Amino acid sequence: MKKILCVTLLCLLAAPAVSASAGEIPIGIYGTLSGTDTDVNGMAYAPRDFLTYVNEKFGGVMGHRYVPILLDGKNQIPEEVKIFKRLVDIDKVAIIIGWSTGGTKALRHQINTLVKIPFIAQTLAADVLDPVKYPYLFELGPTYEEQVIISLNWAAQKNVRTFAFVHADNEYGRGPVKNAMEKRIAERLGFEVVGDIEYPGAAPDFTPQLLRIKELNPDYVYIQDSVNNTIKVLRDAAKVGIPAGKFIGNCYNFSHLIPQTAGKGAEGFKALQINADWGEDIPLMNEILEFAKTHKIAKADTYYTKGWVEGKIIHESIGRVLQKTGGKIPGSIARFRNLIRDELEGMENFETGGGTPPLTYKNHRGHTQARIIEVRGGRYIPVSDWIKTH
Amino acid sequence: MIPRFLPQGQRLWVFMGCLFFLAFPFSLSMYTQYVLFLVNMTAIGVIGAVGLNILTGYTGMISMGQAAFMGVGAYTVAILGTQASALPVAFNLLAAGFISMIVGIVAGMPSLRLKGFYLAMATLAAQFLLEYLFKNWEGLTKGVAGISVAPPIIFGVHMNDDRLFYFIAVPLAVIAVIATKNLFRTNVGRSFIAIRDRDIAAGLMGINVLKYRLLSFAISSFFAGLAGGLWCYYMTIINPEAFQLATSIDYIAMIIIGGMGTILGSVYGAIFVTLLPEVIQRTMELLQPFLQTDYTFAAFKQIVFGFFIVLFLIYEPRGLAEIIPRMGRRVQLWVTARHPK
Repeated sequence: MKKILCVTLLCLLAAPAVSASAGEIPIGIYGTLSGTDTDVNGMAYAPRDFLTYVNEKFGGVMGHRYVPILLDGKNQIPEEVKIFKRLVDIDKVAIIIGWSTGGTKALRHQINTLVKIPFIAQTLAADVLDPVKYPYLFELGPTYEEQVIISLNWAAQKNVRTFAFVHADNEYGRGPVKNAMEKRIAERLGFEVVGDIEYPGAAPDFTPQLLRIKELNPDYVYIQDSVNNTIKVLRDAAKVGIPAGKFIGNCYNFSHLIPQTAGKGAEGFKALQINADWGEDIPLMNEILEFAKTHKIAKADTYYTKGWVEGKIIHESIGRVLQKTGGKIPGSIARFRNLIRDELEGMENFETGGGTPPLTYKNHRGHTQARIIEVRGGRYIPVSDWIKTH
Repeated sequence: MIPRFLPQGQRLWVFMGCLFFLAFPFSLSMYTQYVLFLVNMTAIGVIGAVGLNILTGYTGMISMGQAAFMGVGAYTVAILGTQASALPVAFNLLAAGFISMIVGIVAGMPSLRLKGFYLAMATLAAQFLLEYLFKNWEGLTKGVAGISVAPPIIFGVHMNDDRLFYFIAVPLAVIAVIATKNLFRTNVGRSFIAIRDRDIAAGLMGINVLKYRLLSFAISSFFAGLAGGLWCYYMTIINPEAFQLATSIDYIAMIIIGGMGTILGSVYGAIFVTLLPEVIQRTMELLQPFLQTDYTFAAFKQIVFGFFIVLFLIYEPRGLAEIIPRMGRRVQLWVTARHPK
């Protein structure tokens, strides 16, 4: 037994280093494949599918094949931290598409100081967006706070006077609304905020909260939540007699599940759109449909197209790096990651095939525009042009 | 270096163990961060599981509030670490243990009148109450946004690295295990066991059942607080989502799988519960091209996890602490049979 222990010890000390396979570029992706937030996880599957599409159609990028690694972060901080460490340490990925606000906050020190790896977060929280403090963190579109501003700007044209917020009792729900309230965004635009109503995120019924909203009678109610809870809000709003037309949701409320599930109770409901919907007549959709001929699509929705765009961003930045290095993957992974970060940051007016407005990453979020869409006849119809935050 | 009071035979093992402990983080020429992350998380799990085992395995009181007690420890460290940064790490960790201990004693008060499922329900109430406070006492806990904490600084060294943190977490886990082992050599530990086996008989023998029940809650919560404090320093951010009922259930799973009422059971359970998802993940990744399990993959992990728990409950309720020595004996018998000399 003692001999075995000694041998094990010696083996550990003498363990050889293993390098990644030549000609392969591992890309790390994690999202909520199980747990809360699965209603928007098309954006986790799509980057993997896009990179597979590039491999199959173009043989990868300049002769190098992508190896997309999709893992389940479960929307839990420890799980996301564990996955991050695995991706940077074992899989030696070049870039990561991450997920939650909490997980990204927990990892921001590692992302920006210890590991220094380009990281595209699915969260649109303003707290992790700072090109100086967090030079490796990127987001696709307007932050949640900016989405509030966009909604208010749109409502200002409709002679609306009063507003209320409704959200879950979690960071995703409470954080942006708190920021908006503290900055007095609504008041500065001439609105009166008559209520900030919170509900338990996992509760099956929001009737008490909706009754309170009915009492307050705001002109518009802004929902800072995602699809599942929005369906519950609209269902219970119909129950207490509040028309769906009074509600505006953020970009994670643009799902056909809402009119499908809430039926007539969703008529008039508005949401924000920051990227193209599934099925739009755009070049990006043609790529997806081409891929769909031979592969199963996990989620045919707007979040899938968002993820597809993120796949394109990765492909573009890596392509630009390889063009500069003469098609060679830099020997040091740290250098490769830095070069990708630089290319990502230097991206200007990048056309995504209609998936989003052109992307410029100087400020680390691709664009700052959104448009208002409304459920009419069971379908989302744009009711505004693209509105810029500022 | 090796204590002289140890018998000659054990000294070599302790020496080898120390050498292994010191060499391990430097011997990993690949996957260092990831492996050490798992080791550190296991070490934190061991401390929490040992604490729960004292309460549930040794004193016979079911607690559904282990995660909340860990949360109290984590928030203590976060608050002390951000508001009074000059305080040393050891002080903050001890404070985490003691504050959690006080909360544990209060939460354990119902044990004076309740036991079994009723006590479990009372601790569940404590779990929900504390979760509510973590979420809504914004002035103290910063609500759902949580608190970001700088990595600990020990002797001027910033422990913001998995390898450095290993030298805090693992020794603390070892100390927790040794301390618990010694606890059950004392009157206090034996009183816990007597209460677990038959509380009425223990009372008739002169054991102050109520006092020892609260003491068990206190010690258990101290360990939970310590584990929570370490967790906070390691993750560098805490929010209420990390200390929900599901985490308490994980800890119960650890002691059931490892073996209730055994110290090593807590260690085995923590290792098992931390590593099983990794094993399943890797296995599924290997099988993925053949099984086409892409979209059901995540759920499959949960199914396998649940299956193992049921399997242990039915076939080996005494857990890994019973299975591993039995396997060792069988291997020894097999070796002896092949090589009689």
